[in-house]
Amino acid sequence: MDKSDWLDRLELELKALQAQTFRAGDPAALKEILLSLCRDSPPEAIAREDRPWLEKLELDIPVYKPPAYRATDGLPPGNGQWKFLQGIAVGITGVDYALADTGTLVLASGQSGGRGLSLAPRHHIALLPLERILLSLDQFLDLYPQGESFLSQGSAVTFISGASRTADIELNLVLGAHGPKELSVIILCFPVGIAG
Amino acid sequence: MNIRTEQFKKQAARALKDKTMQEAISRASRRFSQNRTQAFGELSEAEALRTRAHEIKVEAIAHLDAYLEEFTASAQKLGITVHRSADGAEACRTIGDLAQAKGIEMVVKGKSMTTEEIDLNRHLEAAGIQVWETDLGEFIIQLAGEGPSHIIAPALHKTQQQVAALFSEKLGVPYYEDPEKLTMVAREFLRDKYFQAGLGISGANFALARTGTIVILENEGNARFSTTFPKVHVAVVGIEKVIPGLKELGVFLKLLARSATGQKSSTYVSLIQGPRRPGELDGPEEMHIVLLDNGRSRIRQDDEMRPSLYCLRCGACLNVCPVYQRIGGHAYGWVYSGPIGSLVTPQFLGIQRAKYLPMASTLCRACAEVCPVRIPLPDLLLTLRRRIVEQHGLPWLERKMMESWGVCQTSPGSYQAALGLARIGEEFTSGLLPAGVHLPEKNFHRIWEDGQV
Amino acid sequence: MDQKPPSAVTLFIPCLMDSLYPQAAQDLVVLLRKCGFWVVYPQEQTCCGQPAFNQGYFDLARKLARRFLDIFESAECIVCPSGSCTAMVRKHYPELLAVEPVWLEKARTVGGRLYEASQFLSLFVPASRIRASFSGKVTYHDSCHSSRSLGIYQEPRALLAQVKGLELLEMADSKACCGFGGLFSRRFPEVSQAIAGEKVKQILATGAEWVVGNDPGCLMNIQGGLNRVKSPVKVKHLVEILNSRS
Repeated sequence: MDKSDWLDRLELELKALQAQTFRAGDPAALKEILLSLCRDSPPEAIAREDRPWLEKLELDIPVYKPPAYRATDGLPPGNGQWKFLQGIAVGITGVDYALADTGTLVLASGQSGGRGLSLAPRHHIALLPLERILLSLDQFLDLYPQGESFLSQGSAVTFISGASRTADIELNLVLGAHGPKELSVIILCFPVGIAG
Repeated sequence: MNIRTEQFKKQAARALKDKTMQEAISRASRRFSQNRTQAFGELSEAEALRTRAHEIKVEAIAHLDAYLEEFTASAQKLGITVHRSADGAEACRTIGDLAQAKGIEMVVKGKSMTTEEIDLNRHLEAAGIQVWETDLGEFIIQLAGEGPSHIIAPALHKTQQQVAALFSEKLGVPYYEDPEKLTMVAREFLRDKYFQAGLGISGANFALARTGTIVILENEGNARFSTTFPKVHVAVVGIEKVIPGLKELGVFLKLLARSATGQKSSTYVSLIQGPRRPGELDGPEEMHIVLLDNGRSRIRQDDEMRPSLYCLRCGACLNVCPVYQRIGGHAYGWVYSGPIGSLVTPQFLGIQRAKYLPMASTLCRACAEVCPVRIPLPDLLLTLRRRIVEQHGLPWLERKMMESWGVCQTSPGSYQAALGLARIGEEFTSGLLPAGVHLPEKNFHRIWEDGQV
Repeated sequence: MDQKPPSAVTLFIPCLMDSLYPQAAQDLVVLLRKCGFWVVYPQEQTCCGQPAFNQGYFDLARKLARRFLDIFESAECIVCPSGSCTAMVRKHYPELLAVEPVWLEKARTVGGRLYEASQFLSLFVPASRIRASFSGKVTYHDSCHSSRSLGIYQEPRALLAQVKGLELLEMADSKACCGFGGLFSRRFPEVSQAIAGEKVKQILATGAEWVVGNDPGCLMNIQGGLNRVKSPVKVKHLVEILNSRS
């Protein structure tokens, strides 16, 4: 299997996980796809991660910046954050790596700045640079032969395989149990200039 | 939960009469095992992976002390506070004291069988702390005041009608039978709890010694929520969860979801490496790991029973067990059910408290066939049976009858005599034979002796 | 496995077959003789000890194991029409006698010469030799010991395929436990019967008139299950079918 097969495989696996997939040949195509995916949400309900290469894409989407909580308040920091996150219907994130054979997206909090944007909004849109598609988990783990280098990836590295789901009630599959109900993956088939 | 292991026989008999529960459990376990079979059929080198997983566990448990030390040091380097708890009471006290010292009034919890093992919720609630289970299945049984009936799907025994009635009664919502509507009710109800709670508690599926990372597998996202937004995160981890590092994790990630539900991967696998870091927008400020012993070291010292600790808590053995399929999880009387429950419950609670559990198996070996880490479950159950006999745990009359039977087998004369007696007293011994099955006039010994063959 | 067929075959007849299904044992003798084997039956044999072993009475099981090995140690080739008894001797005798080198050696030797009946026939008897005929719809039950402990699956089916007039209808899960489990069925009778009930449902769903297997314990338990639902389906041991001329 070569790289183009990996992309096909990834799309197949994602579809099996009820995720939508798109290929964007250039930044203009990307903007069009985003426009169509977000058309039912007001602009203030959409937010994106603060990654350098996302910045470079000039998507004209506000950056996710929850209010800094004050540790001295004694209040749980969640309150202010929730009011903010509650209003976000679409979270747009980058993807650090994708594992084709299981349809998995790998998001590292150290690269993306946090965990919440791929978790709380109803719709998670993941922008995946083509060059970051790997075939399998084994290939991903090979990137960190010593494990210690993995530590630099952040306080949370999350493997996402599909939309949130549960089958706890009589084995009926329901999407959007707590996490996003909808997952869309846009594969960026043009250079985005990620460092490393 | 209240421990009811001594009442196993009665509970099993009662379960058999509960047709609704039986149907629910047998349908679900059949579906899980079919999905597992398919997922393993598609996995290349599945058998080699199972063997490798077994070997990793053998090595990790054999050198557990060293790995625990390494894990503790690695986790501390990440700014995680590590607590070692000898037993459940100590773990509960540690967490309870922590919560009270910080003035925590509300806790959100991800699914953790280990916290059920130590009855953590009851301890926290007694201290006036509100605890919300956030996994849908756990949320359901919390509202119902019941224990889990399956290791990975705790509310498997409930129909959607029962859940609808439960939500309507406890949450004051209209009666909806639709599973999607019910799930959304739970989602909405729990949503702001993640942000109000001062403490999020989780378990962990694995703990990586080399890096201090803990790994949580889930499908809903509730564990991600519980470990992201509350200011403090406490993970309760059985010491047997420690494995060397990332490379070994890879082997288990290929096996665990497939064994449990037939998925290629759980929807979310979170590798958590400490509290939030500078520059990160969310994540807890403070992270604690409670490494729980609660009898695991004792099991580890037991050479014969050590493989009991390899368990990944996938539930595959439950799904193929003919006994579990008929009686469901509650009959076992504690948090762990099915073949693995029969194995570990007597070891955790003491053989005398749970002596019928290892007996409640036909030793059909279906569990051993599907265990991803190749725990020889039937052989270990048999070892427990041997110990129960050695400790005179069975009724005196049974021992005597077995001895007499044994004597009858030591010579053909006594064998024939016993058979003769059985034939005569067939009304009385008919309890030994199934309905409508009778002893023929002559047994084969006699037929051969009389030259009739 | 290209081995020379033995000239004489020693019978190890499970105690359940001896007492409950002696006609099946007779059928086995006749069948073996038809295939040209001299049949030996050591009359001192009683029980291999499995019922004791499965309940944890290891010392008693060991006693019976040693007795068994003494009786069978000079046999050239042993045939047993039961998967569970074969597994007991082959797999569990060495475990039971692991710390007694002399007995362990005997257990290994005897185990190496012991064959479950369908295994024996598959290895040493050309298919054409058996020439059985049995018209009827048959479904086959794989006992847990046969399929999971001994890996027997193809052998009985290959033998049944040669039986003239026999139509084999497979259950949805032929390897599902029948619920016997030896004394398990006495200790937990309702659970055992419930498990048997599931097996019976499968059997009835095939439309078969006969259920056939190679384990007398299973057959007895399944017969009970069929009787409880008043089913006309009958139970037969594999060797009875193979010795049929009906």
